[in-house]
Amino acid sequence: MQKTVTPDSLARNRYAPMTLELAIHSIHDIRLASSSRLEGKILFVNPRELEAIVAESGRVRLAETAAVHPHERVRAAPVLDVVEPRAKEDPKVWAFPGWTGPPVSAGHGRTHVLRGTAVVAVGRIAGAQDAILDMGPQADPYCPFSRTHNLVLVFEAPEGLDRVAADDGIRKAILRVAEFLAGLARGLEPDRTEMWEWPPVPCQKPRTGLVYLIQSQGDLRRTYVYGQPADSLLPTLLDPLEVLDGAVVSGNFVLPANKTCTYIHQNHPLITEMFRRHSSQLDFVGVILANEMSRLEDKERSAHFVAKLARLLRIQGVVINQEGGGNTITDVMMLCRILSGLDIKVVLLVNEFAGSDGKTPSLAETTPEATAIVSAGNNDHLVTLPPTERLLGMTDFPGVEGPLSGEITVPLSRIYASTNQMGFNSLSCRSR
Amino acid sequence: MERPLRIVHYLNQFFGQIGGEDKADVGCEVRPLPVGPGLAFKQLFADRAEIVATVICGDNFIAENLEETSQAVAETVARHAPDLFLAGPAFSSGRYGMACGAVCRAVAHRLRIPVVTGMSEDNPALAIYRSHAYVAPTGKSAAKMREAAQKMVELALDLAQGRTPPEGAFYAQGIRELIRLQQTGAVRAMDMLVASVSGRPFTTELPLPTFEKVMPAPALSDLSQATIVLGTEGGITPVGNPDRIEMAMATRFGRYSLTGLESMLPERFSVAHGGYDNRDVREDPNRLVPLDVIRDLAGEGVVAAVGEFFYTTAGNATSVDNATRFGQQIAKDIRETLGDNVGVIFTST
Repeated sequence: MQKTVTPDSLARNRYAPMTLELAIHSIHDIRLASSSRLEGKILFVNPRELEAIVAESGRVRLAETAAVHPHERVRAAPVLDVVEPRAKEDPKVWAFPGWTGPPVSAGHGRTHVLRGTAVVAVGRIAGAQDAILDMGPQADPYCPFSRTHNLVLVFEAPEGLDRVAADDGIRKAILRVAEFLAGLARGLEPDRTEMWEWPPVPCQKPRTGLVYLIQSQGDLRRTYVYGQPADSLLPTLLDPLEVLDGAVVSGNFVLPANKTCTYIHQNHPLITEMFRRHSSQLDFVGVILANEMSRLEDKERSAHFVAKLARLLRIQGVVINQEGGGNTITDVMMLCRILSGLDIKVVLLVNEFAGSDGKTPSLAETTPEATAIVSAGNNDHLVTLPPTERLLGMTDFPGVEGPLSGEITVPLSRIYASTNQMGFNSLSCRSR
Repeated sequence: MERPLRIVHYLNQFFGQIGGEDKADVGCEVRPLPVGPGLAFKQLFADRAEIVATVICGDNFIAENLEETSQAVAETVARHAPDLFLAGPAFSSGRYGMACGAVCRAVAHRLRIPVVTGMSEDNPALAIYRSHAYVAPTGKSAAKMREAAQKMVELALDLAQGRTPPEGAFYAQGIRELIRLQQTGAVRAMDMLVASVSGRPFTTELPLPTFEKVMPAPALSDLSQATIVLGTEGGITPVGNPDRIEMAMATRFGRYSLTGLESMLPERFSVAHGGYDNRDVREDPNRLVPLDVIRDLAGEGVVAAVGEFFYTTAGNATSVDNATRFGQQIAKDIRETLGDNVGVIFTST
């Protein structure tokens, strides 16, 4: 017998919205100790346990573990990634699917978050561009991770280990460490619980979404979606809750200011801000994830695919972020042109290369439709930071005369996440 | 009383009273006194400043080799140790405006002194040079000379004496200045989006930049007589990167020998470039510096010869200033080493 599908039966079959519960534990201190535990607002960490976790991940070795605090005079380099400690309440579900466990969908259930902390991976990988984390008070405007309690892990790869293997080993290790640390919060009462729901209740505001650009362009410039390199990804719809729950992980080592690190994917500033505006100012209808491709033909395919998805969602306005710089501005401007041609309002979020004197044209490519741009600051701007008291990682740094512990003058692009193009920091530029 | 400020002034052949269009090809000359509009300046400066030299150059002469000639003018200007440099005013003349702008930029770069010129709003040189000079707004033609001279003199005195010129005294330079705002970029982006979809006004934080146009050199007339030089911004260097070319924001380029090589051997070359996936290039460097193919073409007589060295840098977030300097030095080096009849194949990643 043929089953009749009616609007009523469809309505009854409708899925309930997904719900993600973030159990936020506000951490006020990290201390090295003889046993790892979470007591009140203090995270105690036993470096031996971390060494064992790293050893289990294989390939790389943990040379040093340090707990550093907001605005201490500490400098760490070269930084590879920053991760927020997260663990699922259900120990059989993994916080970084595709990395610490099977690649099943994230974005639902209860996740413990150690807010105010970050795990910072430091290590030298040939071909990874060198990044500085400075915790000192003078670095505060430039270095967003000078404001968190950081567990800095200094890694060493054995002589002769392939750079891609070393990178892979370090990433697995820090994600496992991040999950182990947040796992200490299981069963403990959080400071607050955030309830995130997708899709949100529809409303009568302009239909808006995000074009979430990631950069995955070969070895050492990769971004992973559920553990898979996004190098040949066709643009896809994401549930924003899966982004907030560990679906996207960074392995991108372009200019340190240009990349989106894992912490910023986990706390996607544009997703959280769009949720905040939903129903009062706009109708948040979707997130389109797209990779910035290496070749022009692939950029075109990807941009047109994004436009199609935007059309299917009947989107009226989007924010497009950039990751990286140089060739990636082509993806940004091409998307701006194509989406504007569909009468979609487009806001771009990019950083600038305006020269150290601010006189160079900031963008390598433009399109006349790009009339709404938020600037994340000038990468070439030179910053002088006073001597530091403690140096983690390497002692010399390309482009810095003398020891890295002394007074240094470097372009912003070397300072980790300073001009981040997901809107994580507060820098900008004005014309004069 | 302080000594009068020393000023050097730049003029074209017309305002320099050499002649009209028929004299636009004359080379540069220097007079040790004010000329033409310089007399109006002299009167306005009175005893506060003195024009110690006037450089006059034909508009066509400088246009033909804008960069090189303006560098030469800057050299000449430097010899007079001025406190201030004035050019024009060019009013709405595009060719004269380009000359004034380029010379101002070269002088500012070399001497770090205030450089002042004057242009009307529609002068095409304004967009290109406004960030490199203080450009006073003027009328469209020399009929407005007196007014233009007044504005340039006031602007020049303010700058030389360390005062902030009043609003409107010069065209905004479009210099990008780093600032920290109250709100994160994400909040600002969402504010802008809400305004945009609601039809409310908003202001972009980054007005679109204008680019300097670079004219390509004319094509070679006979390839079979030409020497071909190879180069790349893809960061190929001899193994060990002997000159330590930075893999991002390069401040230098390298020139390396190809003598005795039939092709780029992967065991001889590596890559210093942090901006692209260079695995394929490390496996076969010929795909970035196509020595194998160009040797074949030389063997077949399609080209006369191959330059026995190649140029390389990492074009990864390299500043326009550095890139411009590399280009000028490489061109000069090729010209001095190989003379005429040279073609270049430079690859980009």
